[in-house]
Amino acid sequence: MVVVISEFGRTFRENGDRGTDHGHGSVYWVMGGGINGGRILGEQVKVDQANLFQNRDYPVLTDYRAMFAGLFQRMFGLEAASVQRIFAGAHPVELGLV
Amino acid sequence: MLGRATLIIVIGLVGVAASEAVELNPGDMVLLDRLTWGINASSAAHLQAVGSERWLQEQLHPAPNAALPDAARKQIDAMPDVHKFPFDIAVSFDQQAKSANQVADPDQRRAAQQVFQQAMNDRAKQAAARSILHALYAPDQLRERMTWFWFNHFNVHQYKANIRILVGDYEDHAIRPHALGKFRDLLLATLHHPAMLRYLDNADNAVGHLNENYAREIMELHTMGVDDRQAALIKNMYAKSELASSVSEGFRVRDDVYKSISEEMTAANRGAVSPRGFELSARRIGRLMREQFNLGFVDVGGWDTHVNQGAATGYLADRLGELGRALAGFSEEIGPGDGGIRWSS
Repeated sequence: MVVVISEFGRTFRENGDRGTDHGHGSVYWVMGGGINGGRILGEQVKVDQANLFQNRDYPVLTDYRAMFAGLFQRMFGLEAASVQRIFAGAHPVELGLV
Repeated sequence: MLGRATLIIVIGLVGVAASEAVELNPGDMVLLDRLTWGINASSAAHLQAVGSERWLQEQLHPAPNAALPDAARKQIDAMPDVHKFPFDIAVSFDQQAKSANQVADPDQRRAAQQVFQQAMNDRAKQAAARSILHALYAPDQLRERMTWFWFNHFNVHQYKANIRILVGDYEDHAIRPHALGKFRDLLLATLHHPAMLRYLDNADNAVGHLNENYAREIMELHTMGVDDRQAALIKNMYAKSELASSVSEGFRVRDDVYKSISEEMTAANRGAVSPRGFELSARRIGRLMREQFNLGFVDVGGWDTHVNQGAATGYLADRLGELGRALAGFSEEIGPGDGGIRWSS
């Protein structure tokens, strides 16, 4: 399994230099032969003014720790206490990827 | 200051003072060009006067405080803090930063912080000016070239923390006095200097709060690297500590990566097309993970697209193409096997 992740997102709106600035929300890519993939998973909201942070930036909907905790729990058969040792305070989210 | 540019000056000399310049033979010109920051009229005249053998001895064994010409010395002496200890400079800058941060009014605080940053930048510029004055006017030119060489070998990054106010002292007191001396003295001088303590985080090294950044670089960058004998010494050093298994694991991974790189070189010598950049890293990780690891991390930069990000083509599209090739390469190296997922048992 390969997970592609960035430490921060980039703004939805373009800036004045034909680029984008540091943002909050982003996407995680999860790939692999055994992945139940080809889908967009996790909580989603409409990309509109009401949902954009400061009208330019995606919100974070799935904490990366919650995503990893859920994956590791399934893949490595970890118990809740072991998951907490890796990602203290994270609530594993079950996305049905594996 | 470059050799090619200064050579033109010598050609100019032929017209102005033909009798002097003509006698500087090509071998002496190469000697001067190679061992100094460039030929000029006075260095050419001096070499001619004393002969190349004696000139070389002068350069190899200069007086400890070879005098700069008065005008250059006065310029340096007029720079602020040039005769202060780095510790005292750092303390006074710390106080300036603290009082700037305590200004209540946000605009005035920002202005005070800007003054502070500007003062740090000025110190870095003065250090650079000092370096250039030495390169241009110091009679001990070989020492100046070696100072530059060792300064690059024991490099520090001036924009980290407060290194801007320390970098001048670092060059003047850790590097230059040892540039023609013993390597051990030079290594120790750089080790102890505040600029290096700060740059490679030895300043953050404390009991129960290890920072091994400097420890790694003194072995890998500053000295001869870690060979098998040193690796065994280091492993023994940690043998009875709680870090023992991490240390031997680290050496094992290092050896595997070396082996993998050497296999790549063999393949390249047979004419195989070798991947580059991130694809190369991803393929290496793939090979390592296929054989022995369950979890790997690889970091790829170049995504800070504030300017001209592009769309279907352009900068970001190129980066994504590279990422795609790397992922495909990783997948190819790790192979189909158990579907790419390794379940721990």
